[in-house]
Amino acid sequence: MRQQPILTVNNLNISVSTPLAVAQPVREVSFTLQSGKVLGIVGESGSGKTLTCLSILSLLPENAKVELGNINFRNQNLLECSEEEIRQVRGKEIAIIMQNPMIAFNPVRTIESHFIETIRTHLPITKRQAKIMAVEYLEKMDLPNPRTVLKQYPFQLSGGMLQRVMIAITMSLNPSIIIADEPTTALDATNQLQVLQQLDKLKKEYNTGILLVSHDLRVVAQLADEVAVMYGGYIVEQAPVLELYNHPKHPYTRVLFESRFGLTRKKIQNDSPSSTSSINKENKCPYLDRCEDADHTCTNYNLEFVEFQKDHLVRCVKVLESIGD
Amino acid sequence: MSWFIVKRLASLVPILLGISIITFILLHLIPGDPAVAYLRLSNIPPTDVAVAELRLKLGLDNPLHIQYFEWLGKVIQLDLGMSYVSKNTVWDEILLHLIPTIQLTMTALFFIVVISLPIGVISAIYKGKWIDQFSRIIAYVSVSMPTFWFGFLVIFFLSVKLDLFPVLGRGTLAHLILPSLTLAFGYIGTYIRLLRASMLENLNEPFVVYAKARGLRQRQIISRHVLKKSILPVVTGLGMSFGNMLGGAVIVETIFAWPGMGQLFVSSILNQDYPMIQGCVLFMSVIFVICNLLVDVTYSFLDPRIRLEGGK
Repeated sequence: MRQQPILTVNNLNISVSTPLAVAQPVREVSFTLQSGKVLGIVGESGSGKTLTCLSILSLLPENAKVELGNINFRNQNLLECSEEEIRQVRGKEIAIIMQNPMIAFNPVRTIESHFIETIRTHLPITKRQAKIMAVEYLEKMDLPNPRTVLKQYPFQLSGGMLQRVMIAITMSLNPSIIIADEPTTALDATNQLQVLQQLDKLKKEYNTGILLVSHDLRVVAQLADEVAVMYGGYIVEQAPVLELYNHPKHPYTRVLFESRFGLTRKKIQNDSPSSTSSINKENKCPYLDRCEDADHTCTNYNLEFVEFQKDHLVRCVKVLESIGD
Repeated sequence: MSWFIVKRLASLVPILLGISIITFILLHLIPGDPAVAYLRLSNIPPTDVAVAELRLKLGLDNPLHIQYFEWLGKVIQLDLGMSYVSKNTVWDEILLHLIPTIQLTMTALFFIVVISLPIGVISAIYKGKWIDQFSRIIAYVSVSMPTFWFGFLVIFFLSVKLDLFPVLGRGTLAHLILPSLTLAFGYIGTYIRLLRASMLENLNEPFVVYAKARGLRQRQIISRHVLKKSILPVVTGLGMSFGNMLGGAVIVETIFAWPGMGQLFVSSILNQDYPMIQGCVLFMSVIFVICNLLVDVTYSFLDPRIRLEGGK
């Protein structure tokens, strides 16, 4: 029943060097993405979501480095591509919708020049043809007066409009994969809904695989087929969306759901995960310090990501223990 | 936009009034009698009688404020008076010296742009590499080396030793190269560093990441995205430097015997040529304000945020 995945991330580990120390904000991250499916990645800020996304297209900042792992796209390890090879993949095959549309566009250039340069970088067409395409795709995004929008500068448009422009640019090249990094975070509720609807349309009409990153469980719930929960650089739980929302297993996922949907007054402790600030040599649970279920067994066992039920993976010793019983 | 220009031009009035009053007062603090200087330059023995007569004729006996208002009254009619030294009108003298200075300044500006822009861009792209270190050295040398020394060095090596360029004076294009290069040299370092810093700042902006994520080539990203935004502070600087160079190329003009505004200025100060000094100061102030205005206008064309929001 499962089709061949279009993107496979295997055991991805990313380190970031700061003047004081080397941190490892992404560890042992593995997931697959299929055409026409949406994989949601949920986690708090600092959990490694964005770095994971950026690493797929080799867009990591200078001080960050992939230590280990591979990222396979169409039988090609993207991490081993030359600069020119990866450039041809960017935008054309795998596109990113950036976190904050207000600062992702160059303030001194028009929407038109952003649009046309993107299309013409990948397709051998004239400016005039590219402009016709731009208008067409802006119309598909339900942007009023596409021709006026093209002549405008980024600061003249609202965040929601810019986000839709960004999606239009992305769509115009019909990529196989779209990475949407917090696509709705900077938007108000009305715009959020519109953007999500557009992404849904993309997935259905173009059979695009979407990697949807968000800290917002509701956003992910609306769109995702499968959800991975990240904490402290690890994926701590991964399951199909209904399964995860109905039967969250990992203590962190459970707290996340409870706090988000207001079912309990349980407090999430505010200290940041310790594992992001130092290398986790003993492979201890990243959630150990904040976990309410933790006891001595948590420190003794080697942590592994285990499929305890079909398609439902979890990284928690206690959960596995309870199943074993 | 036009309203903005009108407002700026109107601001010239108080600026010029202020500047002329200050210059007027400062001039009269200079020790020595301009009438004596006048007579000496005219090869007339400065006897007491001659001096007294001349002071009366030039109106130097009047109280300061009367002198000022008399001068101002003429200026409003665009009469800047007559030079004590050459006996030409101040206007004629300024126009005569302005053209060489504009020539010199434009050529220098050209050198500044073609030398510092590429170096600035390259040193930002290859930050920390040997080429960046090299540009840093150029920048330090340029900023810290005194103009007169650099001027003498190029004269010594390029004119005297290698005989590539004429040493002094004005005439052919070759005469223009050394003075304008010398004038440009002091500014080059500043602009290399300014552009480099501005580029580096923009290279880490999210719009660069997004440009990369869309698959743009490095060349496109640098020229169309980063440079276009990083050039803004450089344009402001260049406009101010342009004004500076028009009035302040004194040292370079003196070294190369270039008959420009700087020379006119210095010689009129040395000769206590009151109307000439006043005229030059006034003229330079106007040029300076206009240069700044031009910068702002250019700026608004380069930066749509100013054009579309501020210019309403």
